Amino acid sequence: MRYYSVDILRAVAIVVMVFVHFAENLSQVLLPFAGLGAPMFALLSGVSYRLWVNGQEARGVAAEQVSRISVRRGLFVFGVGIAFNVLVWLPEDTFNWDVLTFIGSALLILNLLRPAALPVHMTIAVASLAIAPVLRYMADYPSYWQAGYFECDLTLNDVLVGYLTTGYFPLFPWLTYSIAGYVIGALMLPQRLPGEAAPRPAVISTGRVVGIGALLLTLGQLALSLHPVWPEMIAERVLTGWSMFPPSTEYVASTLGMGLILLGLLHRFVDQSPRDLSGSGALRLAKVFSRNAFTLYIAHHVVHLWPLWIVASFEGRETTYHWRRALPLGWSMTLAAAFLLLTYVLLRRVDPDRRYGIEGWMRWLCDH
Amino acid sequence: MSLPEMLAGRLPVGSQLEAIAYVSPEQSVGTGRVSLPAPLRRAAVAVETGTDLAQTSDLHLLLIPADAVEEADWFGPVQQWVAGDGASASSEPPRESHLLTLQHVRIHWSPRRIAIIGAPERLPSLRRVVLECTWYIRELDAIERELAENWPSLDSDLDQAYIYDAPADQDREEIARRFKAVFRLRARLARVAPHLLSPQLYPPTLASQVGERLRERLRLEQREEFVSDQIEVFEDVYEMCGQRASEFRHARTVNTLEIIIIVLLGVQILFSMFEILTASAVEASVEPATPARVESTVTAGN
Repeated sequence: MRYYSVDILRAVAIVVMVFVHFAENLSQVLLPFAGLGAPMFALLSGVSYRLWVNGQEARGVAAEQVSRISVRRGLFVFGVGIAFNVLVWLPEDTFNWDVLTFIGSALLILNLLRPAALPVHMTIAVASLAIAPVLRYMADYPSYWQAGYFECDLTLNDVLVGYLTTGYFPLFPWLTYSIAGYVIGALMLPQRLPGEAAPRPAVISTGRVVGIGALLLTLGQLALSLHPVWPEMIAERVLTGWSMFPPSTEYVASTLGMGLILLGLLHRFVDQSPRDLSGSGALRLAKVFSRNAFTLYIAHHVVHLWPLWIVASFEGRETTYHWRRALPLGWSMTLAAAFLLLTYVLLRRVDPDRRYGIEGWMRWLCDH
Repeated sequence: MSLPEMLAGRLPVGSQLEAIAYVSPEQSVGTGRVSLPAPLRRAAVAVETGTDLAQTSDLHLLLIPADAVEEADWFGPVQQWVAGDGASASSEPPRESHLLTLQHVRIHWSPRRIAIIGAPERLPSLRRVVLECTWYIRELDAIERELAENWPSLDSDLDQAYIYDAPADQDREEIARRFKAVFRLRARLARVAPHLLSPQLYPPTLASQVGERLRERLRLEQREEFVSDQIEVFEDVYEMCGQRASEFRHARTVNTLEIIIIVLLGVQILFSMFEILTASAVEASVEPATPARVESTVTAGN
């Protein structure tokens, strides 16, 4: 079953990311909504995985087959993530641990956790958030970040530490988003079992999901506002203020809360709306972007970064010479909007069956 | 209550039609109350026309004070009325009806219409026994009906008596509801059974004999036995489901706790691993540069 709420949020996340990346990589400008797209993407990876599992179970697919496909999909996304790092961020950034390698890992972990009861998922989600500051402290996080960028030596130790805690999207605490999404997907979205005509009612109401989201958001904001009064040890190591790199506890709690609120509200007012919304243009747009989010994520990096690398190479300069100083912000934003418009038209006209995008390749390679 | 059209003016003087409702003993409504034995917690009362109870009355009872020795011309219409194929009830299908004749008493019985024809002094005791018996029959009918409706659910729940997993656990509230419903039926049957199975009264009275005949005619003893057997099947299945559900939930709680402990141990291992990883990273960073490294640095600088 397709939920418009998930489509809308994923579309918003990808649009946010496109604008933020264009502004940052072409004009060195940090937009005010930077840092809101990736948490949504990670949260929705869990929700979508649960929805996909629900669909498989409703079709009576054996648990073993579901696991096999999940592992293949996880490895595919992880592999594409590594290839993306090599080809887009160039080989020296192979192990910068971008969002794709994280989502691939999250899929593998969610598949492992699938048979367990939901309290286990929740414990791991909380543990992931709780241990992240400790791991960062143990790893000496700032030593891996030079001038705002993640740099690590190509040693097994550094690569592993980066993967677990110091990279751009390390397992801890980003795993919290995916697991939270999975749990919410299991509890809030109705599930249909094999042989049953109608789906089972949701275990928890959307109101409760919004309530949990509001609580997390409030706690996150409260911790932020109390930052000046925390003891030094806590303020420096545990509740470090609003930052995406590293993802502070306040940042994770607030963005997770925001995601849950939006998901709950959209599920209540869009998915459960008595009106037929399938003809809505905005929803059609959201559906196209959502269905091709993986492709869009890679494509928008390619179209705005490769020209920079290529031009610099032809000019005989260092490959990254034009990075962050190529265009003024107005041009970057115009290009981002043009990219979204063009891809929408292309995806609607050229690939309505979703055969050529990365998602299509993933299904072709993994789902048999 | 006025007599039905098809019988009006044809019945002997003193005939009366009562709308009977079975009410709880606390309800002080109606007249001619017949209290059923204590565990049943019911009383049959004749209710006034026009009241709410009359609208939903359980049955109609026609009392005709007449000696039933000779055939009368109104016997036929009375029988038709009881069977429900009279003009006044043309929309209703004909009902299963029975005729009992005993010691100058004639009783036409159907689940919702009863006519008692007998000497006036015998009518009160006959009224009492017929209303009492009718309640038992209605209870047994209701239990049979409910059981018949529950067979498909039992079929679908059979799997869970053997294999109980997470998807099945989502149905546990529904299974618990059915489990309770079965035991409620058993309790209802247990309350009625003594009255269906009790031996004949000695010395027999007219009323006790009428009750006995009615029980025989409607095969109540055998039906009670079959219903009891059927309920036993339901009980067996739901008892097994209950046991499986309890075992599943217990095992899941234990497993969850074990996994949470494993997760905590995993965190501990992660910390230890991290200590090793970060310690080696520090060692690597303070390692003195080898000549080869120095050379490569110089070359790169050039």
